[in-house]
Amino acid sequence: MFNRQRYRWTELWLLLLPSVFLLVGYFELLIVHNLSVPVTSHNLPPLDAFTPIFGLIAALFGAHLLLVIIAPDADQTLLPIAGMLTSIGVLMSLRLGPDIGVPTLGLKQLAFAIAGLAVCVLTVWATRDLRWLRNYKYTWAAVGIVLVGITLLHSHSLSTNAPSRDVLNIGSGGLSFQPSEILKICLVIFFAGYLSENREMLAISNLRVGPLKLPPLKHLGPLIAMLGLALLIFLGVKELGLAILVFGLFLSMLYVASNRPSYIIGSVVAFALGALVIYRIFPYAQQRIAIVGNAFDTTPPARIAYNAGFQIVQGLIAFGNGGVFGAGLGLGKSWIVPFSHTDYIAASFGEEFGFAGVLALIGLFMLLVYRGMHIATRPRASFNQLMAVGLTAVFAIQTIVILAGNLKIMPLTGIPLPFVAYGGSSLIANYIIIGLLLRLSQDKS
Amino acid sequence: MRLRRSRQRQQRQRAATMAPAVNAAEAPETLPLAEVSQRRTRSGWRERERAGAAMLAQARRREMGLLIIALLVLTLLAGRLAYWQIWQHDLLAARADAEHLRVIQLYEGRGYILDANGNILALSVSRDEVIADPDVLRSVDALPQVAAMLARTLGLPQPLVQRELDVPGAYVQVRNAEQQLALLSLQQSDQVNRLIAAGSLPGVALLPVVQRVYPDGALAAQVIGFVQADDGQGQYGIEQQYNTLLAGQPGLLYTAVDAAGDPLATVPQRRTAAVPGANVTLTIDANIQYWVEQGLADTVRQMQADGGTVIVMDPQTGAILAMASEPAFDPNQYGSAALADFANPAVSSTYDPGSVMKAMTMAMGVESGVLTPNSTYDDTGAAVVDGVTLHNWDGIGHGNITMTQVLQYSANTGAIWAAQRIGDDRFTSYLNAFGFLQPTGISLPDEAAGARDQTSAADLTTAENAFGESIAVTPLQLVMAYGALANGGLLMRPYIVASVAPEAGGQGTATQYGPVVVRQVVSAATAQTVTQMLVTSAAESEAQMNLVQGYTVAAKTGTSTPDTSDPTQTFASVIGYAPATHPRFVLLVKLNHPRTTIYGGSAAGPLWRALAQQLFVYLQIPPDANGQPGG
Repeated sequence: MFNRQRYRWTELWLLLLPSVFLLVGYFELLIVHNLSVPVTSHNLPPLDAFTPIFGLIAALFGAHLLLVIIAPDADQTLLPIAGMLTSIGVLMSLRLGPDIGVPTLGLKQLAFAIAGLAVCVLTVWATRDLRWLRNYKYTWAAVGIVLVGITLLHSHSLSTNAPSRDVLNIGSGGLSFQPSEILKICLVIFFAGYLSENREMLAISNLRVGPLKLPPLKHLGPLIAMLGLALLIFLGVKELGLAILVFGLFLSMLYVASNRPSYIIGSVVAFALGALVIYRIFPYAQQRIAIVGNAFDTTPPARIAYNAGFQIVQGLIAFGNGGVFGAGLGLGKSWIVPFSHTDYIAASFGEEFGFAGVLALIGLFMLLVYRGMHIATRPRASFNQLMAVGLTAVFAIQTIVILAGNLKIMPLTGIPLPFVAYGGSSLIANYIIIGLLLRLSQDKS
Repeated sequence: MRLRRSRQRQQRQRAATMAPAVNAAEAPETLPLAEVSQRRTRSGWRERERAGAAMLAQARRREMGLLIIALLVLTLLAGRLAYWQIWQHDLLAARADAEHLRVIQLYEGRGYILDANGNILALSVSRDEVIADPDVLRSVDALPQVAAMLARTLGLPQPLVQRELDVPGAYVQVRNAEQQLALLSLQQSDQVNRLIAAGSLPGVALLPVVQRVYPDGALAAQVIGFVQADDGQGQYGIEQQYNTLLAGQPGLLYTAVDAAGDPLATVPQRRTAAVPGANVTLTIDANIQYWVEQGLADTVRQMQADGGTVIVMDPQTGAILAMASEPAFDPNQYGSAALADFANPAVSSTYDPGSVMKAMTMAMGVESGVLTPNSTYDDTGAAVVDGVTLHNWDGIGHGNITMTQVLQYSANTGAIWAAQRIGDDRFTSYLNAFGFLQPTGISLPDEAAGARDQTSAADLTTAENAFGESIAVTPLQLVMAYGALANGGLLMRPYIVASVAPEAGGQGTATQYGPVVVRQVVSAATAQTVTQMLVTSAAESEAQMNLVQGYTVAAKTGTSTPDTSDPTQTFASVIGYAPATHPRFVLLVKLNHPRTTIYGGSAAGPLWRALAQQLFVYLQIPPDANGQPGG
């Protein structure tokens, strides 16, 4: 089992990067917190202080060792990339916690990361046979919809007018999780299962609408129904970002499955029309768009928009203050950005690590998307291929949507930056995706 | 369209034919396992497998397309990031500093304002005010108890404090019933501090407030001005003129603050030391100022005047000994005073001075050699200049009279006769030489320049100016000009600040201010001649300003009627200096619109005499007239 050929050497070496990054970064944080005291060899931070960090590093290598046992030929770069992004997230949480009044923020995120790695290995182990995912696709879809449906009812009963988050509180222990994070995985499984089964059918087109050819409605029906339901739910909880995510991954998978530009064009037109209708109906959507346009405008007529755009402006100030090389970890002032640890984690990171740092972060996401798509090109099974595409699209779309929101290109949404933003549900869901991609990577032609 | 579709079909066909090659490697593996009987089914399965493989192969190209799109979008985001982080860096970093960096000013107290004898006219004291965080009070449900405790300690009604504290937000300053900050006595501060230390007052803190105090209340208020409580800036008078020096340089503490505004320890602080404010010593003598203000207030009341101004100046130096105007205000309570009372009319208000200008006219005539005190002319009671008939104030002609008698009777026609001999050009240049039509340069804010009436012909204006009409002057300009006559023709710049000195032990050097000679306006002989004319005319005039035993007095009355439609609306004034042989003070008393009697001699004369008497005693001036009234 441990013969040299099959051992995951590449992964082992690559895992040194997040380990070193964590140790150096945490060391700096400890020094920065006592900046008034000059650092000498006598008052270096005690080794005990590093215990949690060692815990995370141990978890990374533990996951590595388990993968060596249960999936030795799986992709060797996914875990290090995810590990590096997680390390950034954990360090930023450790750094921001004291400044935003939640001292345990970092340790919580660290615990989530370790749990995520465990779930990742568990996913790889559980999906030895991927067919059970495909065979129960309707079940998965139902599970996702029910979870979100409960949340919707729950949040509706609270009846807040503000842009809500789909949070479901479990018990009274303060534990909560976002069902949408699970739903997106369920949807990918469903779409992959359905599209791979009906691939040929969808390629045949009998219906014509002008120059566009459409597939038989019989086959398209369940697909449209599922998509419509998901979109309706997210619009119901006013989560534009999630609607874009679900629609984007559907589009990506449909495009790969069908080779029908007409579907893509038709879908985009439908989405645009839908968006226009929503923009007309919901003042909330109009406000969000207006904020992007005139966030910096402080003239009296735009005063309300300015207040609402406060977060965006603060985020940009944080980015801009970072400059090329950043203020240095622990030396930024990003705590004055609302939600600096979730929605604006990229701005917080950008202020302290600078343009260079965010460029590296974007590079990591590019690498992640590249590896995902690389895995997607190799399977022999259509279902596996489509699933890899869908799961990779989840990462790509989430990254693009939240970064574009942060950078004042599109309205800000509550989509978390994968692995980096604070939040247990998101982190664990992302590790489930990594687990699935690891398993999918074993199906190579 | 047709072409494109056929190309797609071709591609699909090509992909289909390529597929078996891709799967060629597997074919031998799968085929041997197949049974002959199942061949047909298997070949159907293989068809589908081939078609599926072809689809997968095509799908791979589309996947690459998706990947490229994703990478492209991420690259564009990186470009946008560069825009914000590199191009907009300076702008945003400045905004970031503005939000995170606070400059906390640490003032070391504003300097004193002192009178000539070192009496404190203005000082700063520090007292505590109570601030509270209503959000905290509400969150710990302690608002009623805290309100009760504060009310008891501060001696304020409990419902008032409760109302003050129960406001939305996280910051409130406790105010008293008059809506003014409740400033604590030392004892009260001690008590509150003890309660805070004991934990009985959550969300409550004391904040030191520096307060400007004027111990003598309204004394010299218009000279001193006041300090605005909210921004600590001096307003009006010396407080405004010397604001920078009085305030000193605040120590600056550059620090980063958190959302609550508290300094953050993690960011290095930079601080500059404070420079304490300088002390400003005035030439004003608080004793003289006090008598002047008392006398002026009494006279304004008695004469039912709208207001008035008194200036006392040392003619030999130009030092202002007193400067007062009514109505005045109390700078300790500037908030309840009328805005119009803040300015100092002695320097910033102009008026037509009336007959007091005749002394200048005579000086110009004597200096030019066109007349002597004994030159005579025929006074008919009126004179026609440029087609306009100008009358004496009483319309009476006095016949053949000398120039000294012109001053005595205050005959306008005599001044016109003199001015016509002096000529427009010479008259104008002498006006300027005496310091009219321009600020005196005293270090007080908002000084007016004065002006001549520009609407009439030059000779008519000059004729009117000769008896003090159609020319606007400030009271201080008049005092300055009379000072020249009292000082042998030497015009002195009036000054009110004797020195600006740093606080004891402070840095910087003291600046002393002394007499400044502006110019020799007229010769000493001319000044002597006009002084004698003024002494004689004053002694003979009905006003009898000189009824001061043993002292010679050179003085002139003036009554101007700026409003031609209502001749009872007058500026009534007396200006003069004494003792005439060696003048120690120039004294102007001016009343605005007196109603009991409207003339300079009768309205302003009594106060002039009373003040002159006090000055003779206070300044220990020896008599110069051998016990005889008049010279």
